[in-house]
Order: sequence, then structure tokens, then C-alpha cells
Amino acid sequence: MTKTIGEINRRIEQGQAVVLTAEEVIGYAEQHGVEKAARDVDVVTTGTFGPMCSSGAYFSLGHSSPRIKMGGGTVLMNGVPAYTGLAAVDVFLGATAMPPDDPANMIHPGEFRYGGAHVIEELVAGKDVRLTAQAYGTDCYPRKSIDTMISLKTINEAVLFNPRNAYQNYNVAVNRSDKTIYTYLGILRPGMANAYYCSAGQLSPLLNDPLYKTIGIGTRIFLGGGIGYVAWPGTQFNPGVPRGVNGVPRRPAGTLAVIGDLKQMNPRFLSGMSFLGYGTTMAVGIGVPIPILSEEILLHTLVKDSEILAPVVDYSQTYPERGSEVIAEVSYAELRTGKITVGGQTVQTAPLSSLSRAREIAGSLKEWIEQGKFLLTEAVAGLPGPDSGVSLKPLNETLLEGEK
Amino acid sequence: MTSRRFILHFPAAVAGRPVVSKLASQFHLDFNILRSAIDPGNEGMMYLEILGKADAIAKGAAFLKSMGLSVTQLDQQIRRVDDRCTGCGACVGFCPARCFAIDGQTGAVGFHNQQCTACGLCLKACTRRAMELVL
Repeated sequence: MTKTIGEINRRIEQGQAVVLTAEEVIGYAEQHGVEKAARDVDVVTTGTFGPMCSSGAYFSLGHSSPRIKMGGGTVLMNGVPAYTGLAAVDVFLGATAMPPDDPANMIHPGEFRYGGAHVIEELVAGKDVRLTAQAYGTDCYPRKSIDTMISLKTINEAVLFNPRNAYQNYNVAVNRSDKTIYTYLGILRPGMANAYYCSAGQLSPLLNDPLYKTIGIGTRIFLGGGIGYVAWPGTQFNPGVPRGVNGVPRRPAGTLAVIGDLKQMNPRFLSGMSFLGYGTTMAVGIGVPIPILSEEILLHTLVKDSEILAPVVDYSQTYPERGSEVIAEVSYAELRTGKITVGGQTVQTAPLSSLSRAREIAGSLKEWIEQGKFLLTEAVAGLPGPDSGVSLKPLNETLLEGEK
Repeated sequence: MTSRRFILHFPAAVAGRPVVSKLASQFHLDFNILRSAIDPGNEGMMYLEILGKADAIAKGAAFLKSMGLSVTQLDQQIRRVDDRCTGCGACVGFCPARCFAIDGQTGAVGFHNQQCTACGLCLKACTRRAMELVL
């Protein structure tokens, strides 16, 4: 049994495509068998909604009269600095950017109540944002400062462009030290009193296509409530990690760089987050459709939380020191019960990735496809596979030029 | 049998007198003193859990008020702004009173404030700053 994306798209256009979420397809295949399921099901939709720090948006702000060259100058959006090393009025605002007058961790743990992600959320919610810029002035761009309000309606282009989202599996964080620590995986109490995990598990896009058979550059996706695309393999792409049943990685592995029109998006699926003592980040909603082109591709979408193992890592020492120790491996089915057992000790668990919203995303994408509003795309290039030789390199410090 | 948690403020004039004990003798209620700082002659405060029938608890609380105490129910002190909550679950792993739970069916994060002691830790753990302390 094989299908093509063209055939599936024709069924979508005729309103006849059979679309199931990555959770629904598990039960369907159990009931009807894999062979029939592969024949019947055209698309499986996935979803995830979790903190994804490597996110941000670029804006083309339009030209004032007289003109100002913000490029090379400084730009604040609601007090949060945007990157200006581009053309005159193009800027990039990152999710983790903080106002220069935020006390950060000077009084530890800092609150980080407002950063780049929150500015992006407010813009997407239709709010006005204050733009303050300073420039050095040139003959063709004489103006040296501007202070005005902007919104998504006034900006020319507003594009979400995230270098790394949708991690394929992730660490479970614990703290083996004797004091509380504040991390990007939450507040971790001493003596391994609690653990945080962060994946949509059996709903997660790349865990349903673990060997990147269908997801690639150019794949059309649900992004932040609108339509986006996979732009590139995400940063820190690391496909060569140990893998279990059906090629499902047991460590953080693949990632996606994604892009999409911010003006279509919805703050429900693009939300600023604050991590005490760590910083700001953005929860990004992503849903990737998986075309069921073969029985093999369907088999991958049948992955269950009980079959996905995640490494338990000590964030008081192993992680900050870039150590490699994995204390234990636990499944997402265990993590979702609210407690795991690590070395004989019971540890309370909690997620950072919203299961209810991941389901909502997979469900919305399913609806879009069923209603013929969303057609699938053929990837124009693949992502590097487990045998590609692509791996994660550390930053090793060397002597400076002239110090040898 | 239900349980309600209160924060009591004792004016200096009342702090030296037996008040809370009357909940047992007059209203047949049980109680747990969760935290207390009362010096006779000075102002004082107490976190009190009262156990009994709901109507008896209401009468007991009214009695405490009639004695000049300020009485605030603890589970009304912490509020969730539902519009801000994204259901991530960070609070579930942090609340010492286990007020937050993920629904096994829907995956939604519920806030069950009956057990809340208004400690305020969820205000810090919440990544969306969706928890508020009502003063």
C-alpha cells in the first residue's frame, strides 16, 4: 500500500480525506489493524505547545519622514531591545530579549516578567507597541531619533522566524543538590523532590516521524495559530543519538527551524512565558501533518507515551558542567502519572508543555485539513537522518590568536 | 464533614483572651492551628483550619468576627486568571498543598483551591504570571 501526497491532496480538496490526530490513530490501528489503518488514514496530525527559547520575529517597520536608519543604531519595542544589524528599518526581536533596565538576576531569583516574547504576544493580540529608536544620522537618513506607536496593522512585514522549535524528545530535569535551583525547566527543589519534563510525547511532531521520512524543508505546518513552513533543520540538530523501538530517539535529537506570517497568528498559540531566576521565553504552538504514504510511515505515528523514553538529568551539576550522566530513563506514560521512581526514590513530576493545548492544535489542524483549507506539501529537501554524520559539537575554548 | 482554612487577625484587645477554643466548646467544631503568632497585648495572626459541617463552620466563622477578629477564607486569597493560563503544568509540580492537578481525560490543569494555604509559591512557579494574590 502506497499513496502520494498528490492523491491525498485531491481527497482533501474533495472533502474526503480521513484525518486522525496522533492520539486517535493509535486506537484506530488497534481496532482495525495496521494494514487497514494505513489504507484508510490519509493524514495524522500532531501538536505541541511548549517553551521554545530560540524563537523571534523580524519586522519591516516602514519609513518615517524624514527617514531614519535604525540599522546599526538602537531600537526598543516596549522597552525591549531588537537587533538592528540589518537594513534601515528591518529589525529582529528575540523571545528572550530583556529590557536593559530589568534587574535580571541581580536580586536572585529574578522575575523576568516582560521580555521579547511578551512584546510579540501583545503585537499578535492586536495591541499597539511603543517603538523607540536612536540612530547616527546620514545624508540619506538624516533623522537621529523616533518615538512612536506601531502595531501589526502599520508594520509592512511581520514574520515569525524561529531557529529551533519542536525538539524531538527532551531531558527530564531534577536537582540532586541541597538547595533550590531556578532553571529553564522550572524551579527544582533539592534532594530530587520534583522533576519537570517538556514534550508532547505521543502527540509531538518529530516523535511521530522519528526518522524524518515526511517532515522536511518546505513542509507546511500549523504555526502559532496560522500557517507556517519548516524552513530548515533546527539548530542543535543531533540525529545520531541512541534510539529505541522504531527509531524513536531516547535523547533530545531533531529540531525544526520554522517560519510564518505573524499577522495570521493568535496569542493563544504564541505566548510569552517567565521562568523565575532564568528569563523569558515563548510558548509556540506547532502542528505538523504527517501524510500516511505507506504502512511504515503509519507505524511510526502509532508511537505511544509508554514507548518514548526520556533521560533524567541533574540540573544542579551534570547540565551546567556539560556532563553526560543520565541518572535514569523514564517513559512519558510514567511521567504523566505525576510521579516517577529514580534510584528507589519517588519523585513528583510535572510538565512544562501544555497537553491540553497540544491536543487543541492537533485537533485544529485536523479540522483545517478536513475542511479543505490546508493542503499538504512535499518536502523540497530532507532533514539529516541518523546516519548523516550530523552531530552536536561542543564549544571548546582554545588559545587566542597570538597567545600560542 | 468539610474543611475550610482561614487567616485570622487578632486586634491587641482580643489577643489575650480564649476565642478559638470556643469553636470546639460552643460549635462542636474541630480545628488545626496551621501557623500562629500571638503575643498577649499585641496584634496577632493565625492560620486556622476548621473542620465540621459547612453550616457549623459558617456559624463559627461568624462568631470569630463577632469577637472582633478579621476573618478571611484562605482559598479565596489566591486566584487564577484563566485567560492567561496556558495549561503548561508548572504549578502542578510546585504547590505544596497539591491544589493543581492535570485531568487525565482532557489534559487540562485544574485549580482546586479548597486545600490552598495561600503560601504564594504558585505565583512564582507560574510561567504566565496567571496566579494572583487578592489582598
